[in-house]
Amino acid sequence: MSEDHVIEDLLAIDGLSVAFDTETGRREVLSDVSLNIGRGEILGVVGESGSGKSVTSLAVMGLLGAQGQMTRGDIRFNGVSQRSLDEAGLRARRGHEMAMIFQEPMTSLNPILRVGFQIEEVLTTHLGLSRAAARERGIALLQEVGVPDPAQRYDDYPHAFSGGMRQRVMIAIAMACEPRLLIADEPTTALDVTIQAQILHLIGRLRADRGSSVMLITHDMGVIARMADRIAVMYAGEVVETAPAAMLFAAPLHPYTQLLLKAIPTTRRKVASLPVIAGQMPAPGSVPVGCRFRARCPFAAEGCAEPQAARDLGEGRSVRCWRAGNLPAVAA
Amino acid sequence: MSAPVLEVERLGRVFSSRGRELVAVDDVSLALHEGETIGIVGESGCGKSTLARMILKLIQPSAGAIHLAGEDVTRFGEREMRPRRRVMQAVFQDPMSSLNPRMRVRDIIAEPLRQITRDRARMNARVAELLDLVGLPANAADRYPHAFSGGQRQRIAIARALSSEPKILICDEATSALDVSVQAQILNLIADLQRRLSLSLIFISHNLGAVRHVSQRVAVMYLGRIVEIGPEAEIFERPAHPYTRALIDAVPEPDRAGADLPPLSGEVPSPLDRPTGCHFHTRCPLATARCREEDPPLGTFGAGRSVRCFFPVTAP
Repeated sequence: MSEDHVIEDLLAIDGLSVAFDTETGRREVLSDVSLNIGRGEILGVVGESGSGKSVTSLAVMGLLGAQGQMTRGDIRFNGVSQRSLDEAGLRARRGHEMAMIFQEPMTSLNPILRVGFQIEEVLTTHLGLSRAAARERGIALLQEVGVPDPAQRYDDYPHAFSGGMRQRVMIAIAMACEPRLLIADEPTTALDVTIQAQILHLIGRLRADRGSSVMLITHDMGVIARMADRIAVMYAGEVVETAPAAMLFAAPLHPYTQLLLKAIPTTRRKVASLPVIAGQMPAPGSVPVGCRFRARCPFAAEGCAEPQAARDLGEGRSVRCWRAGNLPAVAA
Repeated sequence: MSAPVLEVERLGRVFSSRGRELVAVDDVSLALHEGETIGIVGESGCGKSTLARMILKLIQPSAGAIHLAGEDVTRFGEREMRPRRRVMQAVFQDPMSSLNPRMRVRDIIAEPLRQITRDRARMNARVAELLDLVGLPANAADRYPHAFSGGQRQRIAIARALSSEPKILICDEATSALDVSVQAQILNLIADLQRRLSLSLIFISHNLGAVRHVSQRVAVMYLGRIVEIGPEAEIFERPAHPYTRALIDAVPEPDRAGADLPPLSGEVPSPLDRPTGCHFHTRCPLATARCREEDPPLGTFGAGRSVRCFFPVTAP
């Protein structure tokens, strides 16, 4: 095994393209996506609806389904290529080595099974614990994620829990086997802001205590700012910019990132008018050749019609824009 | 200042649930002036949407009064409200479920106009004018809602709301389902229309940044009550109620990267069983014995601001 290869990233996605077969033909939804997550690192993946961020996470989990295909590139987890694994290998990896939590904990939990049973199931399946040992461990997990009176709540059904408490239960299930990678897809989007703060705090604490890596997928730049060590910005199936978090917010390079950050209304100040990104993101199957943002980009020029490769700028930064770094400033 | 276009006085609404009383809205007073936007913020269950539905006369209040343009409409039924509805319109969160999928955009927008005119040519002219006003092409009129994106559908919903030339627009989570880049377009559109048409707005949202962007005054609700109300700059820059401060601190924002304040503990108590004394005392880091026993009144706190707290965290 690659336990000794500490230098290698836990997750390395390299040039990944994914296509789905639809009634109207094959649609490419991810194009040339490259991402890395180091051990104990939180990578934030941010983008608007249709940017491909959730498909990326499903590809990592090996959950693309019968219609989805990795058409190019590879995903290496802990040194092992996903292409070398069959369904049984993927299943063993899921839940044990990597686990996922979703936006809506009510639809992720089975409503007719007691919460404790759903935690025990993971522990008995993947770790081979006895029922009694699994129960003890399950109660300890609920305690760890901050469910009050865990021994009493253990045999309750999901409907008896609030939205925030259900997400805590989902996190307990995800963390049950101490996975190396936690994938959190919009984990706080359905929650109120004070509860969101609690759940983000919990995810940060679990990372610190256990050294797990986290892939945090969200549309919310604020959530990313609070949590991520590094950030990947996605647009229309591509990663358009990757950077350490502080750098991305201090000096975003891709025009899309620049405009997106300015379009967010904040509680900190009031502006007369929010800068607007005109138009809409192109849908899969109708992306233009060349830069996919150019129809909406205020800096679009002739060279933008050429295919754009991700340019490595060093210091962990890369950007998919040939003009980035040589652009006029965006008016505030 | 001129007389308010809308005034609610000590409005309350109690729902009965299996023999228990759920207090959804309690003792809410607001005066909305011409051309003004009042933002209403709070978490799930704070009563903000119930308040909106009472103001719109979609549900009947249990207590208090609603004055529309100086007229007491609290006890008005549907028949008396119908001619008055044209002055007050609403835009809701999900434009897909609030637009009839089997009607053309032209007919959707013209529907409120039927109260005013039956002249086909006049209606078509007004529809064209409204589409232009909300930034949609004229040929949108002949298409169905499914042909449009979420942001465009919200523009259609806004055009419909404006067709009867209302004085008041109630926006309930009107931008909450939209992506950031589209949200910015709709927020700008709402602010722009307000200036051009002298609309008065009640803007309800859980998105505090969006509320600050469009509002002049902001009311913060917790468990059915207003806990703080005042000018937006005061509320956001010098919050006085501990809940207001906790709420603002909890919002993660790009320009506050790394700020990981200890989150407010616990969850909002059930409106079926509100705590004694100050309703916020179970989560308040500053609560004292007095807060657990005595219910603080909504007291004046500096110019144009009121706070429901014995121990505000800033000076007036």
